[in-house]
Amino acid sequence: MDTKLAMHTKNLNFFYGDFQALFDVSLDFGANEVTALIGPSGCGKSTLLRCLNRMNDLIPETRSEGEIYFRDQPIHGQEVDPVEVRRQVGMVFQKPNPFPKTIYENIAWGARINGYRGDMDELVETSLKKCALWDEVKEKLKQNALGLSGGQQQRLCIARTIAVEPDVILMDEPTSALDPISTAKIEDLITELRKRYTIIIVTHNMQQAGRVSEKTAFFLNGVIIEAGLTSDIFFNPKEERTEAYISGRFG
Amino acid sequence: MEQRIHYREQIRGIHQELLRMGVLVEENLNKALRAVKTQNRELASSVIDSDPRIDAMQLEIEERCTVAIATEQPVATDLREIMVAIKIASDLERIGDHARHLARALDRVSPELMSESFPVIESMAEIGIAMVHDSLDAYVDLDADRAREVALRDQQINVLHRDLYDRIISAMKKAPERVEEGTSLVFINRFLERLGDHVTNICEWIVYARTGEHPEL
Repeated sequence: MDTKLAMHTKNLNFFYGDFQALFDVSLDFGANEVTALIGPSGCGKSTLLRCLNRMNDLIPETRSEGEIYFRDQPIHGQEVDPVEVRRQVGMVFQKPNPFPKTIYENIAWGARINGYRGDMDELVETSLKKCALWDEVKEKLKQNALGLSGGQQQRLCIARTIAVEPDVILMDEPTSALDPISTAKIEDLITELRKRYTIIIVTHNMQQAGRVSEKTAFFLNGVIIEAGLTSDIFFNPKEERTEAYISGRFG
Repeated sequence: MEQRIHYREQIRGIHQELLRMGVLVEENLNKALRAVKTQNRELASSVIDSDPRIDAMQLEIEERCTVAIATEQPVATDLREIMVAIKIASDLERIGDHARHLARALDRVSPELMSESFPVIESMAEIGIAMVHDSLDAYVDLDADRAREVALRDQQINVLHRDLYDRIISAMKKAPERVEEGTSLVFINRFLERLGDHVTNICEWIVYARTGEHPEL
């Protein structure tokens, strides 16, 4: 194996009640790589994302079969605390969802409940700097985060995620509610963050997948149709269905 | 139901313009060859005069392709088709230049010297013209097998090129006073050999558009 794996799944099946949403998904996520999950709505990509940090555990009448590994440890092991999984595998959502608290508290809160004992001011500053937000908010740390623009809120949410030092960041369409400038800032941020973190991003924006990811997996009806280097998927896909989807001929 | 109708229309428009350009290039090659054969200066002038139109068509195709990339962000085969249209337009433009060079031979090579070399020049040009024609046919369907077959014929031009080169050098050695026009003939020979190379390029681009792989034909 060339690349060290941050996570991988093995024959993962997932069910909402009787409805099967994922079929035998085996996928590797290389450490410090950006992997894009693409496919039409309802294809299972967000379901997979939520499986990766056990967020689906919170949805009643769901079950999964198969294995998900964080590094080399199964995340469904009996001794595994799902809260700890979610700290190590953080998530950024489609719509920016800062807490209705100050900018400072948005960063500090998660760290505090995770038992952070260091210099909180420093953690807030470092986290905001890593997300290229510090210069824009350093004078208003005590203001309510909901007063920020949508793009700033989303970068704040990413800063909040990385403040608890995860290894993997899951992003579920993180720029779909943002304008092109804010989108470009998030994409630049993803490029910067991949040096420290493994990023798995669900996106409907094909150009975004092409721009930010090294690997891409294309899903259809809960099945991986094709996965590989993003450059191969977007320039010369092997599967006709991949080609048709990325070219906008269906989906 | 076909999706991305506007994009498909743009692509169709680019294909049609490229084929129009190809037809004009082929026509100019035929006219240039006939002009040399019949020593028809008027026909030669018409080839030279229409070359700027070919150049303008290349620019038009490039412009349309650029707009399609900027507005439609094509990927995979769609993207390769656009890139290939730009590359083929460039090769056709160079072939058009070679037609013009051939037409200009009328002023630079005496009928006497030309008549000695003409059978080989005619053979090379005819193979080249047929290659242009057939490569355009292959382009219409992005037929990679046909493109490979067309490119193979470049070898015939290369053999004739070497043969004619030896003949011209030998003629110049025998009659040093013919060196100037002999040199012009060397250039004509070279341009016809390049014509075959440009058609080979077109064939390689067709294979690339179809398969995503760069062949060496």
